[in-house]
Amino acid sequence: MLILGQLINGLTQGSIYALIAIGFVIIFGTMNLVTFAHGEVYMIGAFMGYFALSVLHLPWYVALMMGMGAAWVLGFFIEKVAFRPLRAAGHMPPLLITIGLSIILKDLAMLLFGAENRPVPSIYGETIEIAGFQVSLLQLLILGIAGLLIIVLRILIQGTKIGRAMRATAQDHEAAYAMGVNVNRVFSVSFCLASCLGGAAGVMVGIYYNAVYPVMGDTAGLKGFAACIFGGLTSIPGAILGGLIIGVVENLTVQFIASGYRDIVAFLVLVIVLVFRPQGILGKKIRAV
Amino acid sequence: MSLLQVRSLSVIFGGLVAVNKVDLSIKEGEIVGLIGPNGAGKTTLFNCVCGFQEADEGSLSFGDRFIHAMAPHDIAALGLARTFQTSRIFKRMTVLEHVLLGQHSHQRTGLWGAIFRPGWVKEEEERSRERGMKILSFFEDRLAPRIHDFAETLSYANRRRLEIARALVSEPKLLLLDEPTAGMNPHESAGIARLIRKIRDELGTTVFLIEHDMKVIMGASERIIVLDHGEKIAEGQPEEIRHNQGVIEAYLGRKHGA
Amino acid sequence: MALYNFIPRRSNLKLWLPVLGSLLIFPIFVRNEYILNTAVFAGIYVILVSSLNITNGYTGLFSFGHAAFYGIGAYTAAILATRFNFPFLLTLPLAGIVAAIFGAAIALPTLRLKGIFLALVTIGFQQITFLVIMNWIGLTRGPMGIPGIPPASFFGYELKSNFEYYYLILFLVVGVLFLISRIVDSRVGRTFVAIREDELAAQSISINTFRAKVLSFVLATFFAGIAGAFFAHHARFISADSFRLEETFHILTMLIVGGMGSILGPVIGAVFLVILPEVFRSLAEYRGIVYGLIMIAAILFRPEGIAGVPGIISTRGILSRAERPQVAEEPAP
Repeated sequence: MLILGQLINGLTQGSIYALIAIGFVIIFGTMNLVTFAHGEVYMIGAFMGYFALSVLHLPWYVALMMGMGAAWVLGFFIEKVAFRPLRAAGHMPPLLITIGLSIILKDLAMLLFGAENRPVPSIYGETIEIAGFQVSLLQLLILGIAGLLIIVLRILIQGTKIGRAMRATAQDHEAAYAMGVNVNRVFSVSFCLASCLGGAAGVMVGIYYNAVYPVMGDTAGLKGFAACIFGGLTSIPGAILGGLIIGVVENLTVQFIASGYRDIVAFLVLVIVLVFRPQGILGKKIRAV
Repeated sequence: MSLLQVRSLSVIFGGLVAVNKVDLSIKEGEIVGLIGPNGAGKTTLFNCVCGFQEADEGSLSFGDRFIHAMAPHDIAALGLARTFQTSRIFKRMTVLEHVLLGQHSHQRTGLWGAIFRPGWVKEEEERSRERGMKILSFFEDRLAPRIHDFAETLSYANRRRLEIARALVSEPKLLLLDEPTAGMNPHESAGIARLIRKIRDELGTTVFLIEHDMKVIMGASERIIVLDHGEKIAEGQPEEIRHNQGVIEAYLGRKHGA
Repeated sequence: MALYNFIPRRSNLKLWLPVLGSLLIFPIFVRNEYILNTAVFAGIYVILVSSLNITNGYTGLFSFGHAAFYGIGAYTAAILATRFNFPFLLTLPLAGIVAAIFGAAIALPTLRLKGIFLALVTIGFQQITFLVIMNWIGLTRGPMGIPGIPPASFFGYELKSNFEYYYLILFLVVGVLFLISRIVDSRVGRTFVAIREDELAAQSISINTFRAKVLSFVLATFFAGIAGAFFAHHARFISADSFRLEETFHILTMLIVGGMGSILGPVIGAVFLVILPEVFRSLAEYRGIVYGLIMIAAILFRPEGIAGVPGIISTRGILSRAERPQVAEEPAP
């Protein structure tokens, strides 16, 4: 039963990683680019959530909205600075700029908020019994929110005009442009959307662990990326699977090996996937054109 | 003596048969042209010969060695050099560095040689430099005065010439040229046709070239092979090919040079 | 002659000998411990940035794991010195060798990868190294670090002041730059550049690109390890905190600002970005922000840095489907 408990823990944490990972998939899928500032977007979202919950004492769903909103705005700004001016430059220059941005954001957060943890109040601490073992309501809430966001995302991508434009752009920028899609706008919206999911993940982590702190984005961003690579860089289901698996294995590692090695799981996954199956579990083998 | 032997070579991309059971052989000292409409599989064939593309069926031999499973750098070391359809020069290396590095397979300086510079390393550099300048002199005064310029500063035609120089400098037995005159004007193209003859006559290098410019192919080649939709549809002297019904039909309606 | 073309040779002695001369007599006139300490750090970073330049600048491989090898070198020296009483003259080269062995071990399975994928796997390795150092208490004492590292010593004579360490690092810097210059200005160096420029074309002139890339990686990690050993003996105490991903980013920023693909670029970048925070001490808290802004400004306005070969980080080109980062080596049509 202990394992099932860890499983729930793992799935909860994993669903948060999944949201971060989906953000990377959206950005890479539509724009063909990678950002190293995603962790900081997540962190800013988390701080906004903290601000809403601890300072303004607003309910969690408002905090979530505010976190997502802040992340959206930040994402908009990042896309304008790092990606738009270098539209034709390949993937390395924007990547390096996002590294610069991540360093700046982290430092700013440390200056403004100090390096220590900021406490976030607990909510839904009660547990209920499902199938013979204890599950906390909070965990159900997080799984629920994550699931809901993913469903909303899918509706957005499959059913709306902008979603179609995103899919067309993901297939082929030039063809989409030739067919009248405003590719710049699609890039901007995609980036903002991805950031928004990252912000949501940040708020949820703050609520789950009752703390936010300026360097929380570092490992979270990289783990999300590991999940994204695991799934194949362009596959949303793969990213979800990757996030969940990393979350579960992490928790099992903490339980059976040592808590300090928890973070290693994601990086081992990253390295192993890249060495043995770089296209990921569900990705298509990328060939030269 | 057969230098290059291609037997029943096939390359299939997904559902598309790019090269279909092609047989051909090239004898030492020949200048052979390879023509065919766009998409006929010519560059794919070249890529197989050089080791950049794995063949799905068939075999390739160079001299007495089977090369169809060899890595590109090993095949090159056997004496096979090539130029590419899209000029692949080293943009931020100088002209001189190109012709020095082209002799890579004949040089032995490694890490220790580079650090300690014993006498033989200095001699090797000297000899490489001499040989490099000698090959550059093939190109009159187009490349030699620019030996310290970055390749990216060269004109388009000079870049193509540099690529040929880089290939020549390794004293290859067989030189594969992939559309060497693409993008050149008629005057420059004629120069390349002369150069190809000169390469064979003065250096003894066998030449196998892909071209779309009919004047160059007819002028430089002694034998022509025609590919269409991955299959060899004709082979023979330039005059025969020119009047070959099948070849004409293959080109009908499709763009061709000259 | 452009800055990026400069390679110190016997023929241009007039250019670099005066600089070397001034560096040699400089501490005699400036006996300030603080300034000399800064100079020592500048020296360490010159070695680190120059070594990263071998892979990232000359060979065009984007490695993001350099601090890990710096750390491996430092920890190797520290452990050998504190637990096994190895003298400095042994710990220094051994640190380089151990780092290079790790470099080879990483390079062999991963150098088929390209671009962003190579970058990610090196980050993965960087983080794994950091976490192992933090958690393998038995070997590294984890977060407590390793104190009491003996100072650098030569046959019993222990270095005591920054004055002496300055000359040691100057000697090492000159040595490393000399080696790198020789390597770069040779068939080996040209091979690296050819791989950076066009790997396929390099193969077509019989270059075994995989082997060359591994060599490039091993050289870079060797020098990083040497820098780590010096750092350990100078600081006398090391902990994993000095070898985080952030440190890799700092080294990378210095490389980009100074310029990639040249001998002078890393030197200028390292000196500039080590001295800058010291000059503007009032901005110490904003160090991260300044670094980030400098990196962004460099990429947006002058990606070749101060003395780098223009165009290695390209800001022009057509982003089409064909430019989608390729995972591993695939032949071109």
